Amino acid sequence: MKNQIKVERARHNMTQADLAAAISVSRQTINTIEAGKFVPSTVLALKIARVFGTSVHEIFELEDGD
Amino acid sequence: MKNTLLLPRGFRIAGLVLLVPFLVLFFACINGNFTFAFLNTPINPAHAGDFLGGNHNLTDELAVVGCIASLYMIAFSRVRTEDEYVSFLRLRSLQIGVIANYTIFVVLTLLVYNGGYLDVLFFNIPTTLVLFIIVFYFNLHIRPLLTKTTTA
Repeated sequence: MKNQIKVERARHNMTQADLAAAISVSRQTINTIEAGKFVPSTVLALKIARVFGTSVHEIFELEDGD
Repeated sequence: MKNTLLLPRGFRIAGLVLLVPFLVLFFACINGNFTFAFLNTPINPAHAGDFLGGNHNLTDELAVVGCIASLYMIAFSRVRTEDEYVSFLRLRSLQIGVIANYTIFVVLTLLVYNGGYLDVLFFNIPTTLVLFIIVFYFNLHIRPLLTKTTTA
């Protein structure tokens, strides 16, 4: 699954730590999601989308193998 | 994510502090036959057969229980931010620990015979916890240092 978290963070001028604090997770969690090593739960995906003021579809996108 | 099976965070430090003396006691028991005199206990004559003899000392039991309890405290206490990635890491580390444990156990079952096999069975008891602790804390604390990633 691809994601646009890094792009959205840059657009909102947020660091990984800022985003992590906004959704009550560790910075490492954001790092692993961005790197595609960890697929977040629906709840976490919705929280991330809410922070960026957009929908989950705008941030997460299925790849061919998914 | 709420995980009610975990101990409070301070137990990890307590486990680390307790593990050292209990490990020392354990190796003193098995290598030097060290015993605390106050832990001598009479046993029920009905059970005083081939295994226990007339008198029994509980020092080695104390050492084993202490080591297991300390390892449990280290393994299953909360980390600073207990989120779903940590739960994912816990599950994966436990899986790796169990697989590695049984792999070692099967190999040693094929290679070790007679009395030595009792040692294999004995030392195999805490290894799942030990392997879990190594894999979990390596993934949580050391691996991020090895893989340089941008944070901004």
